[in-house]
Amino acid sequence: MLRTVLWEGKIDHHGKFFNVKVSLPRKAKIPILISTLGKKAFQLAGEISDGALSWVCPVQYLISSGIPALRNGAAAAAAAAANRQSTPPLVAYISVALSEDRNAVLKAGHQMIDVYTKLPFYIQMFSDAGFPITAGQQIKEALIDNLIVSGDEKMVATKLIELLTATGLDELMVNLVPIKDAKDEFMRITHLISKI
Amino acid sequence: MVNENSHSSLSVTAERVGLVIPGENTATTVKTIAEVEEAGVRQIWMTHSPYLPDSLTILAAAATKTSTIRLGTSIVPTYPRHPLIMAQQALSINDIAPGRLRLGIGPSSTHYRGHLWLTAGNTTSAPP
Repeated sequence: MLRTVLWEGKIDHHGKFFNVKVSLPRKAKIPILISTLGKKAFQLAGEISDGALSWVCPVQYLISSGIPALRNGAAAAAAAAANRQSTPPLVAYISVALSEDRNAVLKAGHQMIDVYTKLPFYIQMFSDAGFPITAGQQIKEALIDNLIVSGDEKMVATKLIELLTATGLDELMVNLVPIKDAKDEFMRITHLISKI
Repeated sequence: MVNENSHSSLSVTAERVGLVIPGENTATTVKTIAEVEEAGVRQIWMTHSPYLPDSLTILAAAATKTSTIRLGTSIVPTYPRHPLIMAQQALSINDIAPGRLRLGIGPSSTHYRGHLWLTAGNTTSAPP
């Protein structure tokens, strides 16, 4: 429905949840991206979306599970002549901490990530990614190390460029994990990204 | 710090890196988005929380204060918003910032739906 309204400017839809018949005075091909966590979501993103948005997924999981499912979905849509010309981009959520203090990064990582151990679909994704966790328990340090790129600006920039050039990830969505001085670190990550 | 000498050879990657903007206050977030555009960031993303200012409203305001930076949502939950209303909001932003909006959407979770949208016991009959 959303794509039809946006891209065609009119819709005549009568479904289980919505009855909408409307023509708008304008239309625009605004890209529609969808959130992706499990393999089925990546497959669906390949079939119907203009991009996949990951969230706290280990990079290796994106490479081994997400991207193949995304491509499979795009291929299936192309085979069905659904106007799918190519695989939509994967925008990978990457957390960054501008700190070489591992204990501080681990502490911030727990504050950020432990909440996901209460949500079964994240538990499933972490398990599929090779990081099995028990519901409600603290996540292991290895998962925090995997999910948060940390270090000084040079180390972080090197890692981000590696992710862009050697993994198959199309784009990065960089989320700053504040460690000591959130305002200062935000200015530094802004400068870093602008120079990449 | 990125090596200035390597900047030109790495610039092809700049378009592929976006920054998540904290969105705790609409006015300061709009100001921040304008500042990161000025600094050279090419893409920003707004996340969603039911307890924080509305991300599409923030992006609409940010669109008036910026000229080139791409604006994205990651994500806007589909459950609380009629798709026609979502489209109207997106088209409004696109009017101000043609070609700069990428609309990320998602179903969110049963936790969110159960606590903020649906009455108890009605977690399966909501629109997708």
